[in-house]
Amino acid sequence: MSSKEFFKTFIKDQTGIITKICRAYTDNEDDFQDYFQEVTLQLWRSYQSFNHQSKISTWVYRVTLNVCLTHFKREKRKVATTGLDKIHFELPQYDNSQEHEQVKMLYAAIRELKEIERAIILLYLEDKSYKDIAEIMGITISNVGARINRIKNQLKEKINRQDGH
Amino acid sequence: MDIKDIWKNQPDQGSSLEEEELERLLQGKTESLLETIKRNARIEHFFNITVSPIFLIWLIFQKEWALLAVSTAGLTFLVVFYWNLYKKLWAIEPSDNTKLFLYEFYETFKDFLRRYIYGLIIILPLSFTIGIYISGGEDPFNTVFKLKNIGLIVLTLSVLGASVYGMVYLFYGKYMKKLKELIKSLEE
Repeated sequence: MSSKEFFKTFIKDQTGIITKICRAYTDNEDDFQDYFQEVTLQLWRSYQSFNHQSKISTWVYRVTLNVCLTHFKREKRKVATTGLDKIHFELPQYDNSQEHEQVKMLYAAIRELKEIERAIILLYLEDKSYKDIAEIMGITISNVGARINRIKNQLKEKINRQDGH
Repeated sequence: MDIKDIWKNQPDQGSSLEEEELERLLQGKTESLLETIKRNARIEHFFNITVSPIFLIWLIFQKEWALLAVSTAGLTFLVVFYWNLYKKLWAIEPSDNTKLFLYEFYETFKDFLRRYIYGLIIILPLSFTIGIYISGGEDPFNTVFKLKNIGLIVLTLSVLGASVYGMVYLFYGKYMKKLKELIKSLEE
């Protein structure tokens, strides 16, 4: 299997996490598609030099977050990015509409956070340990703990506000 | 309900990327700022290493030894500066930890913007001197640097300097500001 074929198989398994992170950093379909494409391209470029010193999932989070943090939104769209068939900015409709609303509100609350805080809380929500989060972000473990507590409280407040409480 | 529980209620979207879509994505051109400045630096570096020797050879044929010495020093500095910038740009990896990546990106981006200043300091006076020389006259430098022209020269250089600064700020100021904010936010 060529490295490109191997990468394609690998990236299909990572689609879920890339989608979630790109959704948290964008607020419309165009930007979402733009970010998704940029992340995929950067993962492909970095894939050749990946040295397996860290876990591959940690590496995916690092690249995806760093690309989202430094990919500046284009004010005027020059070229339309490749449209994806099944992956979109909008959440797919759930069977349970209450759960669907809750997830939408959580995304809306995350988008109101500062960009670095978004990165930290996304890693927390994805069950990364404090040690992993510290390693990915380049900050201390105690700092991670303090920030997560603060961000969680902010998110709860924002969700309650949206919910009308 | 805990926010982690809400988050986990999302449907799994793994493997929903079609083979053809993925191929199209990988064929696409990256629009990131890092890749854009890499491309620009590569083009400018290539221009420097091809045009500089041609210009220096021309000066040798003209037997302009003083101008040759100044140009060689200035252009060598520019080529070395670009080579270092080029190496730094290619060493930046989005796979490094966020803090390190942002620092490297910010510092190299500053270097990338510095090239405008070096260009102004080296290329502009050099072009100006050559312009005066080519424009002729028996004693071109004496004619141009007459007292009545000095004010005009200073004004032209000031307007040019201010325009370049304004352009740099207009095109890149917002990116620098955002990178600085991200680093500050990590350091809080």
